Amino acid sequence: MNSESSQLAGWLSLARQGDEAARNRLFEACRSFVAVTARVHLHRRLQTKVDPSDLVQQSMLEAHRGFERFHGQTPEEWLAWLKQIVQHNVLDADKYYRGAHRRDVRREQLISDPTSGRVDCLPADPGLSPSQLFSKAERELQVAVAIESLPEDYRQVVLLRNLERLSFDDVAERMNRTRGACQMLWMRAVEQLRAKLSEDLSLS
Amino acid sequence: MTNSASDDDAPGAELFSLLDAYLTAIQCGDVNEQQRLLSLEPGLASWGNDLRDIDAFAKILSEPLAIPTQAPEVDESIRFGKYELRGELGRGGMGVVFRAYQPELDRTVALKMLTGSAFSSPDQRRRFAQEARLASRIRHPHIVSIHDVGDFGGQPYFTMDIVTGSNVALRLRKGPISTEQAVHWMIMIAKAVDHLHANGIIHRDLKPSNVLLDECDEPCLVDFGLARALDEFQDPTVTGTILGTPSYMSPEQAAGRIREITTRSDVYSLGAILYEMLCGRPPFKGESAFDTVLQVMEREPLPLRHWNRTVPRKLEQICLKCLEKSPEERYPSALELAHDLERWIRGESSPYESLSPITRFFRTFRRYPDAAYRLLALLPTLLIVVLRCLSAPNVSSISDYYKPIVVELSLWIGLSLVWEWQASKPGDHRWTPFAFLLTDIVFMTSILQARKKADISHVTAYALVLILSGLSLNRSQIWTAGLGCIAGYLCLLYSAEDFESWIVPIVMIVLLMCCTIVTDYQARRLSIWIRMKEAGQRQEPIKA
Repeated sequence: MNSESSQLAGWLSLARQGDEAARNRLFEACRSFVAVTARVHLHRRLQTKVDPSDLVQQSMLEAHRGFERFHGQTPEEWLAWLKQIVQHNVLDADKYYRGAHRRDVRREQLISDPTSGRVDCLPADPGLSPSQLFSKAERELQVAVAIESLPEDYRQVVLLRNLERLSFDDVAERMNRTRGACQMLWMRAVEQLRAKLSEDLSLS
Repeated sequence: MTNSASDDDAPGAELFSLLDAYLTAIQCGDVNEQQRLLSLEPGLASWGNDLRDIDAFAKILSEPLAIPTQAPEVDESIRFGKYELRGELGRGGMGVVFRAYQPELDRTVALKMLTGSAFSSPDQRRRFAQEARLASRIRHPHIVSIHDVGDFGGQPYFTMDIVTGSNVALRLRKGPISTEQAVHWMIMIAKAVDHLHANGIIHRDLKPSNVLLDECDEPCLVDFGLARALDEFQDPTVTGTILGTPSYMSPEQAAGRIREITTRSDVYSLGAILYEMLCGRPPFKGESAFDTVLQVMEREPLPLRHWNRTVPRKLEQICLKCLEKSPEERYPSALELAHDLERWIRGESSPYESLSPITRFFRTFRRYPDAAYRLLALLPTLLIVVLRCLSAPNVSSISDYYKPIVVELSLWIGLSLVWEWQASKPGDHRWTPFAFLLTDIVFMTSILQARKKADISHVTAYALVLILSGLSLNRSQIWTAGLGCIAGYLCLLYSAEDFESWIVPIVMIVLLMCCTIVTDYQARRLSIWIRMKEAGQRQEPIKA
């Protein structure tokens, strides 16, 4: 883990010095992270309107173009910066659809309001500070890679139950399957995720 | 359809439900629940880290858009309206608090964003803004000032003074505080609350974590009046989910009778805070929020000296006066509470000292409800039997018949008192409800046996015991009652003289059986409902 972490930090500092190859590797390593971040946001807000891959593309492009403006040092700051770019793009898309197509979005939310069935609880215990959250940049990348590499339906169920924190009744409704089927699917998906996470996922 | 039995019977169903509960506990940050599940199935531990790491991504959702990062120098995107967000100060019931810099005025404030579905509708947001604006007019040394209220990118927020320091909840977690310190703080808190009341604001969410402590260790109130914006739209259990435990809510608030919430509801909450400062735990704390609400409404708080022998009796009386169920019985204002505490410090006597006998009676009644209700039923019965005995013309034959009944009734009353006395002692008391139940069934059977008959009317008495046991929502209690009642009825049949046919008794036994099953089924349904309601509830760590 440590060597990987320094690997990421190494690419970051090389890329900042202008090393083109290191920069490409850095971006490649973070693509899954951007993708999962985008998926999580879109699932909640605009799933029906925006293709996540468009948003990933756009965010990666912006990160590339704006790389000079990134002044942070650590991998944690880097991931936080990427997250911000994604969030910005989501906010833009959100504004666009809320403004010009407000009624459409509303109508679709009525059919399946993504917030209605959330297991509504507060994230983490208050003792967890952001620095602790971000201190495992490497792990976050690993998890993102693992989630992205899941088959489509596995990823879907993990997104709904683990990331959107929906109850299984709502998961079943969203996936258009029986509750039992979703539970089985989720068990298999989480098992596969764990298997992937326990493999030593190298970044390169 | 989705809940078919096959779901539960599928292989791995048990592991699934454990894992799902474990994930929910992780998502809620409920450490106690996680520990409990781990003790059931230690194998979960190996899943824990992965589930937590995956959950890190879920937090993206709970963070508002345009969230700040650790690196303020990144670019303009960490700006949030006219503020620059510089790190998180903490998370509370209704949102996240950031340290925010306001360049125009060159000052740093605390900015609270309200998150969660509670503020999703425009109505709720408008309501919130209205309340916050009212609150922003308040200036008081022991109240955190609100500066600005707004909405940025659909995200409601307000800014207030930064109070660097701890809060009473955190402080109590570290260890007990002295009686003098507690009273000193409570006087300041009560005066601050009175200032809010004078400005037409009811706090509604007074609890130890909403009383901050500044550098000088002086208390400072936050989050006042905002709960009202929520109340309008939610039933109390949901509000409880958002606001935390109902341990500090007055009975009228816990029951969701929002129209009855007055300044005296805040007086109640002040009493609950004082109770916790002196005893290290709130007056009521059930296993679930629902349990706590029931206790708040029906039970009498245990005397403070039960937990802490060093609490002076007069101070105990002051605290319990705040915790009266009926608002009229509490202090008329927070200021009166402060004055009474000051009088206590000076050693003066209080005008509120003497309790009316009615208050005393109801307090005792609610403190020992199991014995109290039995006395309420059995004492009049005993009285009637004794009167009947004495007034009969042919004394000797009648008294022979009634004597054993008098003895049994007295024993019944006596045993009930013994069980209640046992239950009020410290220790494990899970057996006392069963002792009450069996005592009831045995004495009832033996008294009914005196008639040497097995009437249908007797079955009604058993059914009543059975239904009452259902109130516990405890399945083993319900089944003990059910089987005990059937056994009692069989005893009656055995001693019955005019026995005609087996048909009626068999029907009656089947009836009792059905009663048991239905009661059990109802208890189970209600428990499921409660668990669902609380699935998302964040329980505050126990501060014992």
